[in-house]
Amino acid sequence: MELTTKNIEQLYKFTKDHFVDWYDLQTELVDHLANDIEEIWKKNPSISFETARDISFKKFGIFGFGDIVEQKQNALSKHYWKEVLKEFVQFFRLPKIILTVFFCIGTYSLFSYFNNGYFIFSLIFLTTAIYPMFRLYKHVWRVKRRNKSNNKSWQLDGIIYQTAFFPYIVLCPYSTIVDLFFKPSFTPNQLIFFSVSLVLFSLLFYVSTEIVSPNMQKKMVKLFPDYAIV
Amino acid sequence: MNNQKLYKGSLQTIILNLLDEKGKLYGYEITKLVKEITKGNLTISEGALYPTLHKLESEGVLEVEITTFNNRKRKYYFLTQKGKEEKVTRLKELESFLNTMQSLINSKSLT
Repeated sequence: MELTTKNIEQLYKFTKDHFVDWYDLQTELVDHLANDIEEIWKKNPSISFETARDISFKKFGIFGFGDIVEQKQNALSKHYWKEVLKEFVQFFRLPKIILTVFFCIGTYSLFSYFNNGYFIFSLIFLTTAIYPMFRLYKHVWRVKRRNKSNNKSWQLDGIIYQTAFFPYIVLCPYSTIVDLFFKPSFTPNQLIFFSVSLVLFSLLFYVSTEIVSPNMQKKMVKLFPDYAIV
Repeated sequence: MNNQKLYKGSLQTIILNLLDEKGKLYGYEITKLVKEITKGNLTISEGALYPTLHKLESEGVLEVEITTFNNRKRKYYFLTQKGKEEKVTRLKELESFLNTMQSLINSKSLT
């Protein structure tokens, strides 16, 4: 006896009701439950779909899908940041290191030329607050548009949300940064520190949002064409 | 089974070896195969299998593909090149572990 399309839809709802929000993970668990239910039916065909489903679900232990969800989240998050680090390190190896040095010298020259708190603070604020905000808005808009068309949530989107927020952790000591605004000028050492920090932050953000996220999204589309935005 | 704890540390090696032999497998198939091969002596729990598969996937040891089976989607796992190399290393480590255990068990000082 095989499961009907209606049964499969019921299993998707069942996984969602048991705190599995992501469609990609739901799909794997639905297939597992479906296989097990069919196996149970082979031995006992008179059993109802709901009873067979509950027998199968019990095999996941007392925490149900909880552990699987949590560990999948950890695994993907770790993978994401590992990829970011792998790409980020490239900017300190030839040939990309030339670009990094060029950016550092360029930013330092710019800061030296306009050596005042107003300019430096504005540039730091623009790069670390306004631009990430714009990226976050763009991502939210894309996710909403996708969800509207197929009503599915994806684990990868959650990870990308997190990365869009990470610049704000850097901004935690903002009260200190605000003080910079009123400084008339800075020493060369301070300017080197600001330039290098800003370049490193920008590179990290660029790698995460422009290289790693799109690569992982492309891979996701290959696996689940529904992930693509129509 | 009482000896499940003994197998726990070898779960990744078991999965890698099965995937190397069979090419590609989905989650439920792995649990079924292990049960069949060991004649029911070893049962991989769902709560241990999927986190292990996801971990290996995120480490680039496994690659996945989605196919349609009947009216549902199925996620297959297969070894990457890194996975094939990892399998060889893991098997060597397991072999060395088994030899060490064998020497310890057969040691006269223990008998």
